Amino acid sequence: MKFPDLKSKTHPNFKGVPGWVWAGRYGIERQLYILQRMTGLGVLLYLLMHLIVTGQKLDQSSWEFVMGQVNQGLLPIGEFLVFAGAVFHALNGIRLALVHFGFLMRQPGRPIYPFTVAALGQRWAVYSVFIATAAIVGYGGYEFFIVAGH
Amino acid sequence: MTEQAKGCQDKEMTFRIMRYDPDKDAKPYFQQYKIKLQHGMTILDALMHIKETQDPTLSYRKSCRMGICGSCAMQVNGFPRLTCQTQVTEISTDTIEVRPLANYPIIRDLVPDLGDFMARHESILPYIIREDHQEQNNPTGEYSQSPAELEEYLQFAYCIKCGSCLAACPTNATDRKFTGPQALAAAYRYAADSRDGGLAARLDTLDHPNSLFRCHYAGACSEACPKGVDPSLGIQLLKRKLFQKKILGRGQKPAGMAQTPAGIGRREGIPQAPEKTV
Ligand code: SF4
Ligand code: FES
Repeated sequence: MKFPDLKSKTHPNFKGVPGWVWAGRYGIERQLYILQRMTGLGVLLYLLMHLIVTGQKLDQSSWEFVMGQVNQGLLPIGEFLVFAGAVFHALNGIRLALVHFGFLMRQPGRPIYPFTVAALGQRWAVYSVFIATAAIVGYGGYEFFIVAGH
Repeated sequence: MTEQAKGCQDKEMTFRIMRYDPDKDAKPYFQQYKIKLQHGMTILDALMHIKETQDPTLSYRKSCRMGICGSCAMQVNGFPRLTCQTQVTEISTDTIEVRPLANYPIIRDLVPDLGDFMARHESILPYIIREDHQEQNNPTGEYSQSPAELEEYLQFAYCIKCGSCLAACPTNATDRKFTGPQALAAAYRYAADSRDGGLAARLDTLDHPNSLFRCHYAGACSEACPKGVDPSLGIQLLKRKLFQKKILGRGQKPAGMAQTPAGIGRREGIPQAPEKTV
């Protein structure tokens, strides 16, 4: 069936990037969708900066100068945030890889009102990701800030 | 009428409605209407009331008024809903904002253009594909299917093509070529049907970069779906089917004909089926 071409007369109503970023009133999986993207982009950005800095041909004193600079001010906190983001991204990525093939979820059934969603079946995995991330990041924070004294 | 319902009766509500006339307006704008709430009023009832009593130019789409046809989906306070199934009292704000479904071009006021959406649905071959065309066109019986096999796909067959899932989907917000949750779940609906033998052909229709693997499981489509279809589940299960077919080489043989039980005749008084007209 052919639909009339209305495009020239319509207003594009696509949400665009704000609709992608802003999770609004949707549930936890939607919030994690954007957090997974943001942490992924953060880690990628850090990797690029890391490659640029460590790829320079520097003698020892220049190298020590650069390292001294990146240890100043808020930069160690930024570095710790990259670590926290990477831990979350990795653990949540495992959950997503399983969910992407239909594991962990409730399987299809007869739809009976009030309807439910299969996502509820994998909420335990969502909470496990939070707990494991908090434990690893907490331990990392202890090593980074207290033991190493950054 | 309950005390709470009596309290709602005659309460004044403000509706902030998005308006757009392609012949006059460069872009959409909002217009406010005040109405008196009536017992049992749905958002769609409120729109009809506004159209009948205040502004006959207000345009929206509706048909069944009972959650069957899928034509009345709109964004109500930012969330896609079937307006005929949403009571005004369910919305806890005194001002209710109604916009056309997001991520579809607006034809006029609250009417979205669902042409692309339907074309995407059509693209995944939404019908049973088999090689026995002769039997399909001139059936001599029924294909066999057990109740358990039916439940594999039944919930995905409940889709009424309201389009709410695409309005909720964050991937669809930026990727205009994305096949979308509705069509992908429909592809799974047929792929999971034991009578179907068209998995390879259907997967071929999805063999492009804006398809299955653009879904990163935000689950918003399933939250928005008013019919319990749970499209995001269908999409993930379709990924599994793709893996089984393409990597493990596991296909599916479509079900054969159901055996007619022997020795059972038509009971007396039950008329014959009418002659075919087409
Ligand atoms: S899957 Fe649900 S939300 Fe999407 S079109 Fe079908 S009924 Fe509407
Ligand atoms: S008018 Fe048919 S679903 Fe709302």
